[in-house]
Amino acid sequence: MVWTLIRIELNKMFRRPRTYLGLVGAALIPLAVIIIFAYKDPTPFIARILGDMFTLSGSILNGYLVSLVTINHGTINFFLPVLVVLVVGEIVAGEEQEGTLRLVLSRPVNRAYFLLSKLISSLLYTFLLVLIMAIVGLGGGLLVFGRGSLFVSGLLLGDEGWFNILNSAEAMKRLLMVHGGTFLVILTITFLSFLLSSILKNPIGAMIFPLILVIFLQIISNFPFFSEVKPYLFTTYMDLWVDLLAPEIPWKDILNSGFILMGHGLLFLLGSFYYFTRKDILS
Amino acid sequence: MLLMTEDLGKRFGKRWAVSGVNLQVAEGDILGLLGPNGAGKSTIIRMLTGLIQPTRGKIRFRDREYNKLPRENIRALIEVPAFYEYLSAWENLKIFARLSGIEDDGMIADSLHKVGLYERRYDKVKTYSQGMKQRLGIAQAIMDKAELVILDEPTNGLDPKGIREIRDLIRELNTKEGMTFIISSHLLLEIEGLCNRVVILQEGKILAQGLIRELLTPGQSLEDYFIAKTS
Repeated sequence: MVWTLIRIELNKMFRRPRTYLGLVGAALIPLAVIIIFAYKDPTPFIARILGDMFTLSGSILNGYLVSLVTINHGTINFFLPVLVVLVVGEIVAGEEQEGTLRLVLSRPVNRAYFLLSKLISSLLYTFLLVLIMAIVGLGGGLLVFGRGSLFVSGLLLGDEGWFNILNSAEAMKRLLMVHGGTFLVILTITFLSFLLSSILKNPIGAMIFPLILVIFLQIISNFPFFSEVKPYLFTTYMDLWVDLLAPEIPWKDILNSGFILMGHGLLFLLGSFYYFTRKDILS
Repeated sequence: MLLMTEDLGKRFGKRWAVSGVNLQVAEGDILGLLGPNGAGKSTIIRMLTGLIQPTRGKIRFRDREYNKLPRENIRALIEVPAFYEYLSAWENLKIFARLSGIEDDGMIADSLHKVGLYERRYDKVKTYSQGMKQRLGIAQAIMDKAELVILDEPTNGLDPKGIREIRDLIRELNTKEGMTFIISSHLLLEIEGLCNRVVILQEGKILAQGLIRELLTPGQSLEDYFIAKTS
């Protein structure tokens, strides 16, 4: 039964225009970066930001830089979450609102299996978003601008003042790890949106609330008053990918961040299954 | 009895939407569920189909006791028929067939023929009129010839010809296939013309139930009986 449900869910998901809207959206950012960089080399701009700290000679533009610029705080904290909630926020709540949920659940369908099939579809969609961003950003960037060394400044990424120059092979390895880290971070948003979609009857709430929550938690994290709760907020760990570019990768910190994110994700998931398997379908 | 409920009740917050419901449905019945808005018809149907959990009471199906009915034996059309609008009627029914473990597409074709939608089977549901969606809803409910079919306002949105066709179809499935029906409706004439047994609900409680011919006195219509009971 689980496989049948998964097949049905995937079929439904990939028949909806909204899914493709999300996937195309994931390709748009790296494409925009490629087009902008093709039009204008960003080296002087970056040199200006760095000011007196470094003197850049030649161009730092290559495919790896495209990928790095694509994966930035704005993408991870806002753009990718928007693309995630577009589909995941709607995945259960949308069926409840449209009324198809009552038709499905009045059939001999195990609710936990049904939700599991929705979860697997959501995971696949989230994975595809990051994969597309990686393929278009890294693949497309390398195709257009070729290989080279990657200059990474911790300061430009909102971290400490470290800088790192990665050779081509190391840059490729690190950027693949960064995309893996991005997937982990975005999964937390996927699970949060999934929880809300399982609880709420209105998909709009399940779409908007996770975005508002992420922004809200990030804002309050900056106030010293909330410094004691900051370690418990999942948003505190959403920049774990930055550490993957540091000269010495702080694996202990990264694993710690990963565990905290996954801990939150697990709680969101347990909440989804607990609530959905008991909820009354009244729509 | 095919189906019996014992002291079935559902509470939402402090309010009992349905309480003390002892429903009896015999095999081969077409049972009409009657009652004004808010009487508890939908709540009972949702409890029978496992969409909501009863707060108390038992459900017996073929003399076996359940908290929730085994949905293998029941199909339902609940309130407004809702489908995946971006898929065709055929694809929708295929989904519901697979959910019930049916791999035979012949049953889908057969049910679409019965409700007169076979020619439009590959059209997306979003292009269907309300009446066509209602027919499709009935098609999904009768598709796999379940022992008990629950239809909530089955003739909603249908024109007079469509109403007659669906009524005839229900009668045919009842007599030829031996399917048992529970039909919830506001239309007293429809219930009187179609059902052999009736349950009258008000404020979540059963006011009367039994075979229509036994409940009505000679010359009395179901409408007269209903008004007398509910006023």
